[in-house]
Amino acid sequence: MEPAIVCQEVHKTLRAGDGESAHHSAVLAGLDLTVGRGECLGVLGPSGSGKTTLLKLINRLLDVDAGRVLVNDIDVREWEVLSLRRTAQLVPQEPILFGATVRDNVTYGLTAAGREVPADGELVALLAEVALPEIALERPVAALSVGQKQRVCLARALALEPRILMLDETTASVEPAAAQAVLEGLYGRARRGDLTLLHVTHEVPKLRTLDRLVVLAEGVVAAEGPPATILARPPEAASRELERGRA
Amino acid sequence: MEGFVELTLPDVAIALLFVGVVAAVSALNRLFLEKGLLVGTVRTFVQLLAVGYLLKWIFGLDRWYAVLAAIAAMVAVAGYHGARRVGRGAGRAAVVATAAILLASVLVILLLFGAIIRVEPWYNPRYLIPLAGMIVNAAMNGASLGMATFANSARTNAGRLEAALAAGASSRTAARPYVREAVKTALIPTINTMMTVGIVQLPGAMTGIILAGGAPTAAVLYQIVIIYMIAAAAAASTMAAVLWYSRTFFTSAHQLRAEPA
Repeated sequence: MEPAIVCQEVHKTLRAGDGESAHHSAVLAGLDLTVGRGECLGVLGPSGSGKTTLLKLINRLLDVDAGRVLVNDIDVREWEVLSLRRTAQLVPQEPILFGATVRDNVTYGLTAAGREVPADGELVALLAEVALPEIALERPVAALSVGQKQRVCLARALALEPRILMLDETTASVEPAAAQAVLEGLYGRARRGDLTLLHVTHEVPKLRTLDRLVVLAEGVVAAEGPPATILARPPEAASRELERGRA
Repeated sequence: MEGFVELTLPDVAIALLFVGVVAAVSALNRLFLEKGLLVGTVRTFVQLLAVGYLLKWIFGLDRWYAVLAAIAAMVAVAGYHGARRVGRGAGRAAVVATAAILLASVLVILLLFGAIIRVEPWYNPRYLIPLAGMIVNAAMNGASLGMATFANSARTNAGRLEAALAAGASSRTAARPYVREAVKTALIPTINTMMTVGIVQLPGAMTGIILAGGAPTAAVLYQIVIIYMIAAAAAASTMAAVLWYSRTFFTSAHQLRAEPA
């Protein structure tokens, strides 16, 4: 499998806190990771283990302190950064919406990229893909539930036809059956080789359906393997999160 | 002009009774403003007296470079002062504010003295210094309010800015709603002044001309020009300051810049 994402010896330190109490903490300390094209990878680890930081290094919301990150064999610092971000879409847990309506949001990335907005039929198909078939394009986003907002954010990401999709607890508030349907759709894209998926979550049912899991701890990959293996005997670093995720 | 009634230092001493009123209000309500009031009273006296003598000296000198140096000093102080309300990173904000105020002031002064108030010599300090002072002041207030508003909303909305960047927006596109909001907020006082001038307050320049014996109708024409010029200075300075300042919140790779503590 050719690699979609390669992280080599990645180091990243973040400044935490404000003013006087500010301190620097090493989040990633020499992380190595390769994600194959079309792979669906689960990322878990205790909070502060650098999961979100890793995703932000891949789409270059942050830069590495040392080491390098390659996307499609090209160092992310050599990519034109906006086209990198459109290729590698990150959808955070907190659903942040722009403009007034569902349409404003689904088309936000396309408009920002100066791309043509497709016909309504295609936009509705996108909403169906994120299990929002009943939502009208003109619906005000303020009236949506958190789970619906998360799916609108996901549709906004998919509208850009990304090759890499990074979900950071994106479906945490989506009703389980709907979430699983959405994820199955994404796995389908991945099996066709159209998409590489990174899913940060600690929800066991969602982890179980992925190709491979990696556990981050102490700034490196502490364990990796097929979901069945990792979930059967989880490393200590991940066990507490997984305990919560089984509920 | 008929000339006007000159004041002496004893007259000013009597005016201290006004300050006494403020002190009494503070004491009666236990506002504890007495110390600030004392400092303010002394500063008003010392600063204005010093400016009076400085201006007298510059008027006497009657040299273009002295006039320009005085205006440059105004711009520098305005730039420093205007950046003080942005919180963290006031240093880079001061550079932005100074540049924006300078740009706006030069533009407005060139138009004003090139096409409207034509004086001999071009650097006539009696005109250039007070008018430049009003222009620089308006430019400072606009830039200051605009930058402080932008800084505040950019910090509050850091998550939204980053979400917009993650969605593939450029830093310019991501910042646009906050730039717009900041420029609008900064220009509200200017627009309010234009709406109510002459009704709510008689502006300073007009009052000055009338006090100095000028006809009210002549004073009004001056004041109209001054209000327009102040609005232009505020708008140009605010626009330049907020646009440029917003750029300093991002790296060239469209990342949110980590702010210095």
